Amino acid sequence: MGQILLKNGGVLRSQVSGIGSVKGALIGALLVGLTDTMGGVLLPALFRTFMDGSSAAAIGSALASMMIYVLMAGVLIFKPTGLFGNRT
Amino acid sequence: MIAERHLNGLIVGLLILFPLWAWLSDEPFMITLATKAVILALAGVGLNIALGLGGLISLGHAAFFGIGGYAMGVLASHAQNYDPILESPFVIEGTKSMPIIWLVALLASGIVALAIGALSLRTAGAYFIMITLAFGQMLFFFAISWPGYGGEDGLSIYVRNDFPGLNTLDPIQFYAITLTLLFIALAFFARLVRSPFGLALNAARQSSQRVETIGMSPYRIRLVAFVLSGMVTGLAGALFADLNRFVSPTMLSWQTSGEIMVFIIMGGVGRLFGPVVGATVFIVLEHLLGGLSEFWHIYLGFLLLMIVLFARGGLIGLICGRPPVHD
Repeated sequence: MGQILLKNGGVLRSQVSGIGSVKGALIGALLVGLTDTMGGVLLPALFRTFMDGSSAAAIGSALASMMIYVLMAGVLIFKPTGLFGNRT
Repeated sequence: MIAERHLNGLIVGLLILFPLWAWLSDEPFMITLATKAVILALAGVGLNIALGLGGLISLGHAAFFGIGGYAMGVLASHAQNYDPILESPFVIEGTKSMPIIWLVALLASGIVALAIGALSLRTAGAYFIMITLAFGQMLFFFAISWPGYGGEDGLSIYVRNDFPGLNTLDPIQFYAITLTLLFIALAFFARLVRSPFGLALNAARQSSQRVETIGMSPYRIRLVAFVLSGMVTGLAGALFADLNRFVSPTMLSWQTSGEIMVFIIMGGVGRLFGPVVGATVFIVLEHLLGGLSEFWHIYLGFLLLMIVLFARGGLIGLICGRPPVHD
């Protein structure tokens, strides 16, 4: 998991925030890092409130590993050139 | 310089004669290798609709390849355990029949391609590559961490699925099925290139403003192309899973998308037989160089670099030259 994050992380961050923007790279990096870490902790906890422990952990971690890509797709759908990218 | 259609005829001849030779001299492994090449070529033909005709560089086609594979895995594993997929409100049984599995794979990958395409095609250029990659990775991580259908271990089935009238466990008969499907897909591709839709798609790749000016929507044209492309790749995924009798999240990983793209670039982007040549070369290299070193991709990378730098139009472009009327 960590290895894959390392592989994609760099591209992903600049992509989320918009290519060619320094401020964007910082904010994108923070966003991706926070989403990944918080998702891994909070999603299983959220599911545990209305499910039994083991299936909550399974579904929660399944969704948590998808979260950074959901974030990335979400940003690109609503802001097709990234959060701070120039309109082309 | 050989005319491209003569080369295509030669490739068709080889695709038929090589397995016949292997069958007569009793080399089932060679037939299996050829089957693998044909199935990967079929996946390439699918991506070629989006990449070659539409200019849509999709790094998420492994998603459709994997969905086709999982369509087969889910249906067949339920059938072999006599365990219906859905009991209420109505019963859906698993099946071991190939035509039904193909239909399900086509439908499932088509629906997913419609959803992914509708969202992704709002972006363009590098952002399109990234958003298709994001959707592909989403499905990959979902498949890895969802324990219902094997998770990281994948799903295996005991015997290959049935095709009415044929014994699919016999390598040459399964090869015949896959080759027929590849020829159907190639005929569809050739027909598509010449159809009004194909012309419009080509125009949308070259200049989307002009397409808009004459009153057509490039978005819709590209979306249809993306869905068709995903469906063909999904069918190839179902066949690939059947060949190995095994599906795993590896089929969904972005490396698979990259490999399918490598076939097209090696063979020639937008050429009818480009993916066939690319997939065949890939399998031959894997077989020959895989014995030398585990890291045979080094040689593949070198070859790919040479082709990209010095042979514009891929291997087919190298042999046939550039087509007289193109772009």
